Amino acid sequence: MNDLTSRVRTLVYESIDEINPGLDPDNRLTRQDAERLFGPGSRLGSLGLVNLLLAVEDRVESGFGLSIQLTDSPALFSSDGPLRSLGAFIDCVADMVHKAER
Amino acid sequence: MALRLRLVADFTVDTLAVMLRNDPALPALQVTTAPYGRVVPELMALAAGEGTDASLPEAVLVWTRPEGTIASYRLAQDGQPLDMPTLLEEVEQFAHQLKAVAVRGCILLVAAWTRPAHQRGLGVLDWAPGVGLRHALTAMNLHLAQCLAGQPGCYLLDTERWLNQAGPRALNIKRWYLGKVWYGGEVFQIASSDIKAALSTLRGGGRKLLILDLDNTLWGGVVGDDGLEGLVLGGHDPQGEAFVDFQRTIKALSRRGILLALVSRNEEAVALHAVDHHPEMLLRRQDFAAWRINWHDKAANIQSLVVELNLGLQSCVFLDDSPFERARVRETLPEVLVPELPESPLLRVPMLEALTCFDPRSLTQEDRQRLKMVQAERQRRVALDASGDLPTWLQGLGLTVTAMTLNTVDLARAAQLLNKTNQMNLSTRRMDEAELGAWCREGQRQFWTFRVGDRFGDAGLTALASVDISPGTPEVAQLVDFVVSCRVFERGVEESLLACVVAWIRNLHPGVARLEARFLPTAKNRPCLRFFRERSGFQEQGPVAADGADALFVLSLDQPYAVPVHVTLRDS
Repeated sequence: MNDLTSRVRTLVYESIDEINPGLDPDNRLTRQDAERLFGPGSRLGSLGLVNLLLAVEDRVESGFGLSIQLTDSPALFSSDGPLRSLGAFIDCVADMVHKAER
Repeated sequence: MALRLRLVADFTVDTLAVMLRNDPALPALQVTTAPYGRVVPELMALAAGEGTDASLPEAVLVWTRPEGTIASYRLAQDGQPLDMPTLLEEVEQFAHQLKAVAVRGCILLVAAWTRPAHQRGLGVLDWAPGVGLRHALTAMNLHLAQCLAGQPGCYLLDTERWLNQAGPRALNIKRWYLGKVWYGGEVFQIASSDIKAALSTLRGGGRKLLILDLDNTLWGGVVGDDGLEGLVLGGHDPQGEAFVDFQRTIKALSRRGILLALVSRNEEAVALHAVDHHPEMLLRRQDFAAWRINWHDKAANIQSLVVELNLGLQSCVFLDDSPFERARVRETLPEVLVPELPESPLLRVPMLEALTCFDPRSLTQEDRQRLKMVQAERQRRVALDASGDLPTWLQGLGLTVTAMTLNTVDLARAAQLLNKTNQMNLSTRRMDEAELGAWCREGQRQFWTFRVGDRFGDAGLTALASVDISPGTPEVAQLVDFVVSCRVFERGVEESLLACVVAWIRNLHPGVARLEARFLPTAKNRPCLRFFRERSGFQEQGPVAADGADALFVLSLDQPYAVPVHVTLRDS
């Protein structure tokens, strides 16, 4: 699982690098685990969040050969859901990949 | 001063707006986006010029989906029979709306219609005329291009290339349902780069001179060591073929008006012998406007070349296989563009073809003949050296200056000259074709183009002048533009322009008593000030502006203005 989380972390960071050029400099995401992705305190607008989730979906598909549906997961968007921080999001994606692999 | 660009699209383009805004490449942009999906109302508002001068955009990008713009295409997508006449009529209506915006004088960039890879249309029948959607889409784009072709300032962009370059991730339909975004970030990134390049080109930012190394750049090997016979060039050899193709690509640039020059560390005689005599060379000595083949520092050689060719360093691109030479030129001459040359010669043609800096804003006869003009200039210098003094040389030059009222054929070249000329330029107005055309149509104005030729060749359209007679002051004509290319100035061309202007005013507007020329200083137009002070015959009346930076020159029109004796002035 640790190796998987590490791979997912790399892939999420790559997705951040991909979407950042489309964000104003003040709104660009950092790689800090505490970075909020959704809700109050997040620098991402709805469009930025959609772009991030789609970028991660794409990279999971090309990196693991697996299809995960982040944008279709309402649980993701609850106030205490995994989008509350980048670290929680990485764990959530790793968990989804782990389940999809089984 | 940032260029005001308005994005008009039938999908969300906020990401593109951010990318355009944050791209450090020139020109700097102030980007605004129209509300998504309001293409037609936005075009109508832009055509009506709603807003203040300061808020009206100087450039507009219109990017639509074919099904969002052309109802007949949408119906065909839905399985209805394709009605080509109606479909093309709708394209014409759309083109009419676009032209109504462009005619206001802004640059209008229109993204050609495309469709995502997953839309297979009618499969094997998709290219069938009158049936297939691929055929219909191609016909729509061609018709749109035709409709916009005569409108200055209108340019169609190659959207298909953006999608191809972005690959399978160009479009994710989820993005459409979740955010009304049709394309992915990769497409917007490529589009942003192309739009920036287009605006830079249209604002006169293109490069004019390609400076090339020889050894391991134009051919494989070192001619001084390997000899002409040992060079890798052509033949049945992958690298040899790649070097020939590289030269072919460079020659194509030259035919478009890009000047070529050589800067090489070699013995000049040895290197030029190879250029002249290697059987596989596509580029010969006559293809180069100038060269510096010696053992001096390449940066110093480049500086000396641009002086000889009367160009600025910002016009230059330098290609050299040596990372050391590239780094040296980059560091010493930061205005020169020094692209990375791939180490493998097999990869160099795509690199050269992908450069945006040579994009032409127009392809005029003058552009295509630029090399001939430079060569003629070299002959003139030889003749000047031989004649010993300037008046003798001018007498033998056989100079003709032909004046014409600006017409649509010359509009592109006139706008190009207006935007590129710095030294002999009275007001340094910068206007694109549409703005220039619109300016000429208003009020009591006259705009001339001048072609200059001599016994060495035709320098082409190389000078401009315009006057404006305001109804409020009918006794005064303002000389608004006075532009002479550095290729022909200080040969009597300036006086010939004034003679033409004065004759026109005296013949057609006898009530005008004086001609005023307001000199607006820039960092580069002192030669123009010197001409008006020392040789024009105008009287200097001092500054008009509060800061005293400008200067007003006045000429009484009670006498004709003499054409220099060595010039034949023709008015066609």
